[in-house]
Amino acid sequence: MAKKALRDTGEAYLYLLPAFLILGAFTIYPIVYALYLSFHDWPLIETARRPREFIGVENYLRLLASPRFLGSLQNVTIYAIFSVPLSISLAVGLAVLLNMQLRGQAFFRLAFFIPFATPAVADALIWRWLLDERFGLVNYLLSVIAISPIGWLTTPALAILVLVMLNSWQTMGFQALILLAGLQGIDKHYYEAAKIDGASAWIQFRHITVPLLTPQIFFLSVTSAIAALGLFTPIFVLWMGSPGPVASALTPVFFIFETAFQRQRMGLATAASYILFVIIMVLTLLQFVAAKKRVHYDQ
Amino acid sequence: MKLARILGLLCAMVILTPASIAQGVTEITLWHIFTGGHAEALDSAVARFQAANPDVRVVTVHQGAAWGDLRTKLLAATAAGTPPTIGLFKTGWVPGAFEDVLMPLDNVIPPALIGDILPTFVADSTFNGVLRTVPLARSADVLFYNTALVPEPPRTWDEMLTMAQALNADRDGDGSIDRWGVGIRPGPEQFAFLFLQAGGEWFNPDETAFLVDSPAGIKAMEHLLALREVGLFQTGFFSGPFGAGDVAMYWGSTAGIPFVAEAAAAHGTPWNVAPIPAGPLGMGYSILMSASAGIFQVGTTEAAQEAAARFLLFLLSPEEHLQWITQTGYLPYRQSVIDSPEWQAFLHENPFMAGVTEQATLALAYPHHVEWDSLRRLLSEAVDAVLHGQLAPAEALHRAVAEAPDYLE
Repeated sequence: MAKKALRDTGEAYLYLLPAFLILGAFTIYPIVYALYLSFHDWPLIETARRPREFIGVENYLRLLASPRFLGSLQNVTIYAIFSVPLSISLAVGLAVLLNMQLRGQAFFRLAFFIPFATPAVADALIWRWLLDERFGLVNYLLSVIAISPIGWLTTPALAILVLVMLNSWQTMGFQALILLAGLQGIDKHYYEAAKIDGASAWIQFRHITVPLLTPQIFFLSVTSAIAALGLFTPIFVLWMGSPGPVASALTPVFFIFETAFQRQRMGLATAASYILFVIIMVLTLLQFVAAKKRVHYDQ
Repeated sequence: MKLARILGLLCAMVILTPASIAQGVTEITLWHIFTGGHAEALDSAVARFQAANPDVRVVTVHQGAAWGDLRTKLLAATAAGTPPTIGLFKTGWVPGAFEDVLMPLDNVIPPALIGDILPTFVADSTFNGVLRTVPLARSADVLFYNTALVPEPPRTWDEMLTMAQALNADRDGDGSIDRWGVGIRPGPEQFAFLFLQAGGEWFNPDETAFLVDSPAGIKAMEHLLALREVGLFQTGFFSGPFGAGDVAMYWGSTAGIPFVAEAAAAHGTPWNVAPIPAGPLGMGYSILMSASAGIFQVGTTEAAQEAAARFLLFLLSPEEHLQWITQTGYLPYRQSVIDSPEWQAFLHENPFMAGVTEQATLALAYPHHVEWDSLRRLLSEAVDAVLHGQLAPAEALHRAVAEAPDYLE
């Protein structure tokens, strides 16, 4: 019996071996090697004049004192504070509407999901054209109601707003589908009982719908926060390779990109990526702790 | 047995045939980002070289729409040990990253030829005393002007401001300017040449301090701001609006000459080129931009390096240099070509090249600092901040200087 169990287990691990090898080679090894590199001054192209050199925690200390890196953390924090709640709130509203079985529901579901299904680069390119100061559709529509052209992509104060709007438009559809699945899983008896007790639609929404949607909202808030802290592609496309006017859209991932591939300071870049990893991990753990009291699973 | 022999023969054919075809023919690769007329000019030069050198095959590979794309690919390929034979490099890329992997060319390019190249161009291709690249596609900003509106181009900062304001016009009477005296595509290069024209120095002697917030830097930034008040600033190219007669003058790269010529011809706009108006020191400096060519000495065979050297020498020959600059609008840099009767004949047909030639002698290079790209980015952010009214000139430059120590270690 024990021999059979051992054989079965061994067989299972054999089937898993290719996946482990790929995971090891393309995920685990780079993660561990990046940690090793973060303690070195490593130019991308090593030569006798510029060798790899062990420097201990100097990269980490340099980053924690770097105005540019700290500025990138500030930018991404502001972005996450606005974009995560906004996109989820809009998605909740959209999910409630889609759940009402209105005419054209399938069309609207598709229309709102298309931005999420479209590659991020294409989405950002569309927005770059829409927001062009001289030829963009947004400024044209504003001119129809006599509002002067706005420098959406050239005004530092608007950079984060543009990114929040783009993110909300891009992710709202997908988030709404997740929430719609949650809505459709809520037992109708709760609403029937509430109606009998005279609860208004708003009371039902606030005390039945939202609490029973907390598992989905929690899932979306964790994944959205992680995505927000890893923001890069829209910035690169909107501002054509620069981090926005006066670096107003500089995020940690953009900082890592420019440090690694423009400055060829791979050790510094990997140290920055580990600092970002720790921040994301701490934030996610805090969210899980908060979830224990605030997320209600319908048993 | 018979099957084994047939299979063995087939394998031998597969393995040996490429080798036999390649025998006697050395293939070299050149990575670039040229498009349109520039790509055609390169292809025709390659065709002429191959006709004269049948033992060499030059494969040109277009590597992206922007210089940044090319740089990333060169870095990745070099790190992987598979670089092209020849790459194009902006000056700021070479110090540190590529310097030691590019073949020294001092023993490849004859001294007489080096002596014939304008000194600034040679200096910009020399890193720590070693010639690592040769100028190939060098450009600089010049002043394009509509000769119907601007009979004599401005020669000083003040003249430019005055003329720019005088040439602004509301042609359709709707209350907004639709013909601008001057158009500027602002960036760090525009600040840089104004800074140098005002007598600025980039660093202190031991390069531990970035000195752009000096009086020269503030003066340069204030002049840019003054132009902003009277001119049209945009991130798009000006060749189209200039050709259409909507902009009377603009600072633009010599590499844009083919596009200006096309747009101006389409609208019948007469035009010419003059050097950038001179600053307080009386010199109309511009910044030497775009690229030089270098041969990789790692990841390439000696035969390929030798063939690449022959190709670069071919491109540097007087005939090819003349052909290249007349087709592309890149800067002339061989004195013997500038002095040649063929060049004079070309100037007679294309008078705008006189301004280009004059600017070539007034082009200055960026410093060879290993973190120059990062420092240049600080300048770009300072220019952005000033032109968008976020910061005053002095404040913006102080901010750049305050961030610079990260890059000066």
